[in-house]
Amino acid sequence: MDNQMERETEVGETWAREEEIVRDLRSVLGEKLLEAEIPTKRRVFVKVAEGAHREAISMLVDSGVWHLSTISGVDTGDGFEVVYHIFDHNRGVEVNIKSPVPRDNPEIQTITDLIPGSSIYEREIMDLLGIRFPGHPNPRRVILPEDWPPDQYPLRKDWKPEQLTKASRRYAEIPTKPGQVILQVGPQHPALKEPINFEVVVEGEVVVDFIPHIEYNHRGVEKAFEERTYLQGIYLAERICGICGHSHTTVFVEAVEQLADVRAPPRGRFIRTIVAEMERIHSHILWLGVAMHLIGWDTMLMYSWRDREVIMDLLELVSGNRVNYAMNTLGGVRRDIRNDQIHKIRKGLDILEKRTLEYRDICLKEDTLMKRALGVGIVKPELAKKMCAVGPLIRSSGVKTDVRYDDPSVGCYEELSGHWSVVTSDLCDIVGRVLVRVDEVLESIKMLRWMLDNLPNGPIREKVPKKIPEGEAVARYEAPRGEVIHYIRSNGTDKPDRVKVRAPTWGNYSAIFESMKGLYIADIPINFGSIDPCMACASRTTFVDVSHSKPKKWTWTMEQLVEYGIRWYENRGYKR
Amino acid sequence: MAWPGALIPEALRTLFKEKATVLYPFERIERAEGYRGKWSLDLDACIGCGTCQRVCPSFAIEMVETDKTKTGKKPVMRLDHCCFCAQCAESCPVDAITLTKEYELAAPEKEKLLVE
Amino acid sequence: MGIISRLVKWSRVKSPWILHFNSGGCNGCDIEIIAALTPRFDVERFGILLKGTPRHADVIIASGPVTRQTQARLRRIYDQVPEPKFVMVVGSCGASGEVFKGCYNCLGGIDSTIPVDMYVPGCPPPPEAIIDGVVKLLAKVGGEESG
Repeated sequence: MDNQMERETEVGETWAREEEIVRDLRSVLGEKLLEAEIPTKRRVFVKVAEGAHREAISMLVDSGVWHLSTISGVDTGDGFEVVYHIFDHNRGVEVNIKSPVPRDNPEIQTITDLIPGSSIYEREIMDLLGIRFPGHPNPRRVILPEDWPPDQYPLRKDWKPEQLTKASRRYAEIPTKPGQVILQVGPQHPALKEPINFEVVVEGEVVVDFIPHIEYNHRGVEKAFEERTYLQGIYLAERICGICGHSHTTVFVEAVEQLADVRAPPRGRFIRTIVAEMERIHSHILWLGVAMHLIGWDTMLMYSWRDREVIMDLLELVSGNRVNYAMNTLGGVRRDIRNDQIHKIRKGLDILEKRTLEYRDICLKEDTLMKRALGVGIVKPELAKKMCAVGPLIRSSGVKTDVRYDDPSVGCYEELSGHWSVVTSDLCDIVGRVLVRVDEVLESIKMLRWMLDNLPNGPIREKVPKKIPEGEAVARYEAPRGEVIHYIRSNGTDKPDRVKVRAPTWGNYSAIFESMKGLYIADIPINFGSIDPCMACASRTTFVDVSHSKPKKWTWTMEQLVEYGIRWYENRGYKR
Repeated sequence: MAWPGALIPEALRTLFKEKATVLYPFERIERAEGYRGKWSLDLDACIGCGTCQRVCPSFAIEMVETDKTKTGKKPVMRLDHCCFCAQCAESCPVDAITLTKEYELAAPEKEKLLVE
Repeated sequence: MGIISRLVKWSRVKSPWILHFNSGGCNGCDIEIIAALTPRFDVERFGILLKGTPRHADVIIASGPVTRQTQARLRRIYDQVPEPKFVMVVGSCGASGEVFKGCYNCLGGIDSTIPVDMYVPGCPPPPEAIIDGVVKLLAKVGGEESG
């Protein structure tokens, strides 16, 4: 609340908050602050000397900053650069701290003691660029496949796919105590989504430790961006995720527009945001159906997906396809919205609002959901902030943070501020996440009605040159699952130099895996599903049971895990 | 207060409404105007400039020899590579490419998915 | 045993059970496959059931450009499905890699690992196109035996 009041009074002064941050950093670092740049509103880029990044980050952490968006590793040709993207909620500014790393000895001190949520980002850079982080608590492989040779780093500029030699297949050994059972949940399961593998250490029924393997969906998209033009890159960005593809293209296109110093015209930005909010509605209703299926309540899956068809028809009307809308292009949007389409959208929104209110009512009354989800998978606000969680996960822990509210630089969210409110819940468990998502659908419907009433006239796109001038840009947006951030570096040609993509589920892993400890095996699917995971991962869960005298190991598919959960609760008297 | 079967009143209400299923293939849903389906080329308008090949994000278009265009080349498209983004239709300087509403494109061999 | 084998072929064509596997795609096609089970499209009218285990399935519906990590698992699942089995690929990236061509971790389509009987192009194909693909596959199966 105070943030918004502050921002409204500062609309006249453009760079006051950003300059304050640069002054504070300079007073702490002195000579070690090599460069500082403020290319646009709410963005600060500073370059610090080797080894000085820890001082800069501890100064920010001490002043109350907790959110690390991501860490990017860049191969600049003569060396490496590690860029820390940190969001300061108090001032609403994204601070990007660049630290050089020498090529012959690629090492940089870890920051996991300052911000524990940085652990998974540092592991990703270890895998892809080969930079070491001495002091990291868990330097294991996280994203490349298990049979990738150990000395090949794909994101280095001098690496080519032809260099890849076949290494022997090595499955990572899990140290087990006597009586431990490892349960494998295989990469193939019928209920949906992607392959992912968990190794779960169990004592009887209770989960003691949880080790995920999330490398099944790694396709090498970041390297592919460097070989395609910006225009071709839009369609590649859209297929990073099929459910929130529009969010990825929005962020990519906004970052390129920042680099080219072009702003899309107002009607184009409004249409971009209209499609984005419609995507949010479709994604949340999809999640509702799937999460209820994971509990065993299949009826809700069928009813909610029947109503989801209303929004899918509207999206097909506006964009030409049910999924992969391809509305965004460099400089604006490709298609306009006609008045008869607006009329149909309004009718569809009325139907959806009525149905969503009914679902909200039903969910709170349904005994199955309450027994299985109330008090399960608790993520306290301190843990969520420590692990840099994003999206409905952190909002269901009572923390009021939303990129559309804190950093409205994308689309028409600046014009929208004041006409909608951030949805939070104090329950901190799975029921809280259900309520947050259902209420966000209602907020989106409110926003859509305002945008359709106030749609400005005018052109829908601006011209953007083919060759983008040299520079770097960061764009952030609140996708249905959380914060999406793209960091793009350009070098004056028509192909980007480096594109770093951090999807929202990546940011939620650390928090949710911490919350798994202490749960029953039966609750694993719904707890993991409550972050709305969007990764093509085949879940393979390996269970390790520590309570028997001889180590027992077994593998289950996700469907077997879901069936087990349903049977477990039925045996205790809860009917489906 | 929570009780099991909270969806039953809703289920009973829908018992007497019309069914939600569209009996494909006997009934079909009308696709929206501007749907991005199968690629089609107007050979009389094509000038063989090659812009469509350059902008395609999935490298699905190939220019082959022909004698019907000014430059002696015309595009052919492989549907198993196409991502249905309509960038070729947008970039074409003479509007020779359109995306139709056809979406039933299943085929047992990849060779059958070549469109000229 | 002509009449028995004809009876078996008839029942196989009338209600195939499917297994779905995503080999690393964006999930667009997987969401459309699940939408095919929901009330508006309802493939269960044709007797099609989505099964969890490969041992019960007749048709594998696969999507996604095969990533290195999933290649061995896909092959293993294919081997676990009992004969006669059919494979249908949904989506253009399963057919050829599509936008992911050239990515270092993608191997260029499902037919790099297992033999394929039907391709359904689209990005993603709407659920009606998936039903159309299954119907064409059944017509092909009913016409001849294939392994």
